[in-house]
Amino acid sequence: MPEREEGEWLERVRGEYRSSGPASDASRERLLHRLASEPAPARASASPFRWLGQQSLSVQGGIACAALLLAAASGIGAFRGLDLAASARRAALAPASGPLAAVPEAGTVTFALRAPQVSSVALVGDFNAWDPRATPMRRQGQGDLWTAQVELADGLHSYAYVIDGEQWQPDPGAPLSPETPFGLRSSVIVVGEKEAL
Amino acid sequence: MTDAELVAEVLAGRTRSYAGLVERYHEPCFRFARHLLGNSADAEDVVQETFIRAYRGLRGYRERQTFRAWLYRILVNRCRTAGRRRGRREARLVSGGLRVDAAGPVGGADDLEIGSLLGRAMEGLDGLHREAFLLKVGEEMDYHEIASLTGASVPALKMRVKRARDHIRARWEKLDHA
Repeated sequence: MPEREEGEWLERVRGEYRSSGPASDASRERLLHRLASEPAPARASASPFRWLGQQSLSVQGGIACAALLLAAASGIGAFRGLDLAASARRAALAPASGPLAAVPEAGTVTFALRAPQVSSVALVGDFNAWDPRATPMRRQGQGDLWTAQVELADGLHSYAYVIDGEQWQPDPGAPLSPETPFGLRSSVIVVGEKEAL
Repeated sequence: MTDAELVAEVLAGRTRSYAGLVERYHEPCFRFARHLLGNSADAEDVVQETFIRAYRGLRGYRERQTFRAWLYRILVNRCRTAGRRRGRREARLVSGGLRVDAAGPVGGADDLEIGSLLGRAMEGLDGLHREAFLLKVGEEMDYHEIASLTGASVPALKMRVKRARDHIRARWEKLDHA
């Protein structure tokens, strides 16, 4: 086979290879969220506040964390088994109920989101490795209310919603986590207040 | 900033610099894994694990090897593990009497959603041949670099690439004319 023809064919192969569908932004975002809970590679011991990211443990970060915990603990009613994570996609989405961010003990927690005109919503968090495939939310009837239930252990949990498989969004009705080392923010829920505080 | 400089930044405690490496290599790693495994969901899992393992093991990286080669070594190993896992899973399905598609790179379903000519031309090619061909032709690595990350010898790799090329080219011509 002539060398030139072979070269042209290989170029076509490379072209096909490179033009295949790109990785989604959601995939990259998931990765950065997961990395944020990893200990920094240069340090030998893990921080008890790993979810904050290693570099967030400045004095300012500590103050922000304390304020966040207090806000969560004094949340307006924290009831196990009730809708507690009401969200809004900034302007388009509306909270399903009041902004609650704490439950007194571990167990099943229901997250609810009012999201009109979307085709899918997934709940992601440190409890499911930030995997949008792990906890799809269910639309309630024909309405715009989406819910999902997860088992949460005591402690602080970070979470977010993934709208239509692509758009990651924290819960504006809940406290935000401090920015991770990778520049991301998510929402925070406290389970088992006494233990968490 | 070079890859080595970004790695040094991360190891010095400026972990945000790792996002620069993710930005640089996430896309190529995903593209490679998807073509190798023939499946986007498996590819995403493999790429996630690759970057997390690389982050955890970053202290073990040495500059005598390029960061790309070091990262791809992890990626190739993760892909092989994913392929073996899928092979076992599908073997169980077969033993249970369910039908599976055996055309994939590791004997599993090949749902290369890209539906490209290349994807279809690679059908029926096993994992090792796909791996060598994609690293050489797709990622344009030289044989010594591929040898360093796959553990295969250069002559063996040349043979794999040639066989893969023959297989792909023959199917390509047929599909292209269809």
